[in-house]
Amino acid sequence: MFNIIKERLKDISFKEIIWHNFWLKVISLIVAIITWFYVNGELTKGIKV
Amino acid sequence: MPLFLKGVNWRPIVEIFILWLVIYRIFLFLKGTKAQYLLRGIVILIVAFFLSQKLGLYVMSWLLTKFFAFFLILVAIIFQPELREGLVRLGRRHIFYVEPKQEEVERTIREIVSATNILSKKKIGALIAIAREMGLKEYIESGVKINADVTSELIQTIFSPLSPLHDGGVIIGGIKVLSAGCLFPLTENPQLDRALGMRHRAGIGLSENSDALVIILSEETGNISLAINGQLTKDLSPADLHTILKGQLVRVRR
Repeated sequence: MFNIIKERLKDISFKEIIWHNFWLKVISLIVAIITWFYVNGELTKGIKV
Repeated sequence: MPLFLKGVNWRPIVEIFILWLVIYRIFLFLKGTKAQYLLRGIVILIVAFFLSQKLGLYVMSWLLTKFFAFFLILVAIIFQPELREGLVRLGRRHIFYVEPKQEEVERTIREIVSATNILSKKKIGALIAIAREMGLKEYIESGVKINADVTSELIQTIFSPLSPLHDGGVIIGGIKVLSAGCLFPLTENPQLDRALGMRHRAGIGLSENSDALVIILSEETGNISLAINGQLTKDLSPADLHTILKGQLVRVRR
């Protein structure tokens, strides 16, 4: 089991992980941050009330 | 808690990371489908809503909130089949799904190229779609399910002129021939060469509607073509095909 994980990790190219669908990753990160800040703001407002 | 995280509020980072993963997966699922245009609309709406809140444009913000609620209901109705497929995929893959080993993928590519080469020499027409990230469920269901390991002999048998399945397309997913005799959508691109037959149009059509790689073998000339994202590359040699397939299929990380 450990060997399989080790083998798979060896094959992973981190460069490829970052650059594959790079803009899709960036846009989803922006949307995630906006969503988090919006929901957090709404929740904070609710707590204040 | 680890020492380096003391005093750091790590929860927002974890939450944003989880949100990012979920949103990225949704984007990836919709990429290359007709729903991607709708997704752009949703992203624009979210950004506009956020900006109107920050700038204190309350009327705009109120209108966008009402419109967004209506929009979500509309999306759920229009994209009901895609949403169902997405939920099924979410439950089926990523947790217990085991990717095929790279050696197996390479063996599959060799078998496909070998079959293509032999069929090309015999001038037998063929249409082979290789599924990637996007599911091709509706096309798989239009044919006869096979679910067998990919071998050159199996592909040749399917496309031999006496076979009842030779008229449709074959869909390969991972290392399996999933279905044969499948119906693919025809392209509506008006700029295509008029000389292209139905097989080529079906191959290009599927590649426009999905991220699949589609190999098309001409019956008249025996030429090998490959359609990716609606673009057709003609007159490929078996070696070229092998190189392209390997580049597209072996170890694509997300």
